[in-house]
Amino acid sequence: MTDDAPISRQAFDETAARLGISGSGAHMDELYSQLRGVLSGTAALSAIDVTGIEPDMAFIPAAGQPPIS
Amino acid sequence: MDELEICYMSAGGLGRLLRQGEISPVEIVEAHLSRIRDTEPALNSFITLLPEEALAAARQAERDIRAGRYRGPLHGIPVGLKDLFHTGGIRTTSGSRIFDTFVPSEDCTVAARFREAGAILLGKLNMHQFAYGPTGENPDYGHMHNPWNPELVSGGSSGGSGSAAAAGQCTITTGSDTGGSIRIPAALCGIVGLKPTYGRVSRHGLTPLAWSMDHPGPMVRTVEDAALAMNVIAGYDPQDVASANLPVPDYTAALTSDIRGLRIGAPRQYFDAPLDPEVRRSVNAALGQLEALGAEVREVDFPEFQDAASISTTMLMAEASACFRDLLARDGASLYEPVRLRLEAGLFISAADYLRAQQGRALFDRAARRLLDDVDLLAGPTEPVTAPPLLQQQVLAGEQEIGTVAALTQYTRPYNITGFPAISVPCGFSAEGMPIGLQLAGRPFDEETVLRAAHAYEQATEWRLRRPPL
Repeated sequence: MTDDAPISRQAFDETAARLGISGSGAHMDELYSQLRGVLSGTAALSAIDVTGIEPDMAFIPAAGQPPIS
Repeated sequence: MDELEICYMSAGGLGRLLRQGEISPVEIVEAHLSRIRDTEPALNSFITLLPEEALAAARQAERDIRAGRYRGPLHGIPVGLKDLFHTGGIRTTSGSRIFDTFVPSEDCTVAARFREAGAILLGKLNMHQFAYGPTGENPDYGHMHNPWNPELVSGGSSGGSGSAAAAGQCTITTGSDTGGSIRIPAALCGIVGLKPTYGRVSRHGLTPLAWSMDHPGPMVRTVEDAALAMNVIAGYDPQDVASANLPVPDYTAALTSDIRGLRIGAPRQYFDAPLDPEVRRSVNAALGQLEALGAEVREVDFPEFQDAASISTTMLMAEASACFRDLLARDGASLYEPVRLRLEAGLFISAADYLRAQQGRALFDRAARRLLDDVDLLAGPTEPVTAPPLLQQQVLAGEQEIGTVAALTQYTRPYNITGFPAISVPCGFSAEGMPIGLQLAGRPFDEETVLRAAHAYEQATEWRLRRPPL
């Protein structure tokens, strides 16, 4: 796997089959093309230094105010 | 009163006349139905129109108001709901023929609160299929069109809401905003769109797209109407796990027009990003206007802005694909092809990448909160461009050609990540007559400051007085 091809066509075909994704040849070609763009964007996450950061699992902005009783 | 004048009056203005008995709800609804008949062929704002039901509700409202049973400022006011807000006894398609005959048994919380306030539902509004796109494309019910130029997009996903409010088809409309779907059509159609704080308005009974980033909110023509709508729909709802159990202020009380001393930060990175020169000029002029009104406008540094797209895209795609996975397996071939492709692509995102995005989100949120330690609001363009042509895949933003989806969500995504309240208010027009929006974002649950600044700016300018040539 390289930066230019975040997923090989063979890995894509195998994963798609495992995920139950199927379609015409043109559809799968388009999905593969789009997916490479998506995974390149996802790969950009690795540039963020997240050392020691716990993920927000249930995201609710805190207002710093007590709840209504 | 002339029918067109009725259709372009604000909810605040109509409410004052209704309370004094100077206009009847029937007159208001008839004027809007006439306006819809005239403009709908060009706009395609509605999926389901409810003329008989609306007239019956208007007659009841007329009787109630005459009998002294006035329910408040939205009694007798025509509203339209994006067609993913579930409505009891009225079909709710979420923009897909798959749900063409789906009739919910009960109202979502927002619809129920509008109904209790006496607002009159005119119909269910067109939307990008399953809210998964920023342009207002929908092959099942027809694409949405921009009232200022029907060859251009209305924006999405709440495109029908944007066009309906801008064209005077409805006084108040609603949208849901996961990556910008309230603010994008608001900016492109020249109206006001408020994405409240996550947790401020209940999501109960809305078809979800991405649970952690879905925000329902009002889309209207004036900031006062956004405040009036928020007075009705905001507040704790035990049926929504993310709903905040916090007091709700009277949002109209915040509309003082006084912003002296308000500190507004304009992130430098917003203006370094791809940006159309006309939009840049209009937004800079708006910042100057805010300064002239007494605000202190300063440049701030927000380097984390560059991470917004990767964090937001990863979370949105993973959550949307989880949300629609069963539907995709069952009815994938019936989906709009671009929506199907996005949903399928999201299935390839690993749990580790999703959690990495959530780690990034925590960092992004901290950085944005730090900025709001020093300023009261963050300001910038809502959109880097004006409305592009329908189905165009690339746009020119300044000197850069970028994907339409990436461009339209460039400035809106950050506040879906943080959940901060953010508003788009009209701040100008391009040489070709297309609207431009100013985005103002504030601290969590401080919609009042966002509304106060937007209202002060709106009242000091005349952009709200322009009408589309329909």
